Amino acid sequence: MKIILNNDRRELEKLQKAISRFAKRYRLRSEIGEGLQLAVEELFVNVVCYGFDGSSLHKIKVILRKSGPKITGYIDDDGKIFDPTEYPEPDLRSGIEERKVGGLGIHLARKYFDQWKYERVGQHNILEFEKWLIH
Amino acid sequence: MKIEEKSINDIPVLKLYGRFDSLTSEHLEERLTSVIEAGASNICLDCQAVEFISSSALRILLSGLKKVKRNQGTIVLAAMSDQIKEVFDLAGFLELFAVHNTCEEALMMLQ
Repeated sequence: MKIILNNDRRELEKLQKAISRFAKRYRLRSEIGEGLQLAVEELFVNVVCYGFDGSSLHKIKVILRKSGPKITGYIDDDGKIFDPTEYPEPDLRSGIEERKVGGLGIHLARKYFDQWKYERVGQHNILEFEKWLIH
Repeated sequence: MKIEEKSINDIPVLKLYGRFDSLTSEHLEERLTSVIEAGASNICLDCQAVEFISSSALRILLSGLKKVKRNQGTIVLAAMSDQIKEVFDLAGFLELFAVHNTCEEALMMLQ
């Protein structure tokens, strides 16, 4: 699956449909498919919301592949330098008043993938990830 | 995504249907805010028909819980599927929200 989206939150619908088709094509178990939806959505929305200043148009490329017993993929954007793999873990133990409202999306993606790797290549953020289908 | 609202023993019950992603969660925010602004402190969310929830919906629920807690109220969640419960667990929300197997059970807890 390869899809190129604009940096617009409304593009999420296209991304969801593409991931659904991918999950169906490879008959992914529902929890794997839904987890993939969640993780990739969180990363895409994060790039759209925080990656760019102003309203200039940018392209975000999302690739998913099924290779043997795992799903691999990457997200490529030309937004501000941002390495989600180094993003601090949210404090999940604090009480209700102290609990921060943000930072959960990256955390959910981190929990889903078995491995992920970030690289800044030229003006691009490249995030590669893997999800094993057998545990 | 759809939200139905009813009131049982003066407690607002919002039944949530479908997918709550970063596009559709705005409606949840509107509804929850309007229920809280109308004076409700205790709220029950029936999650039986929720198919998907992303961090944007979790953020809205957390903000809502913070608001009602200031008025000694709470938000209780009922009937969520294992998949949705796992997202709550990963987000550390099971320590913040009371989760019940059924809406009736959740409402009894609020009486």
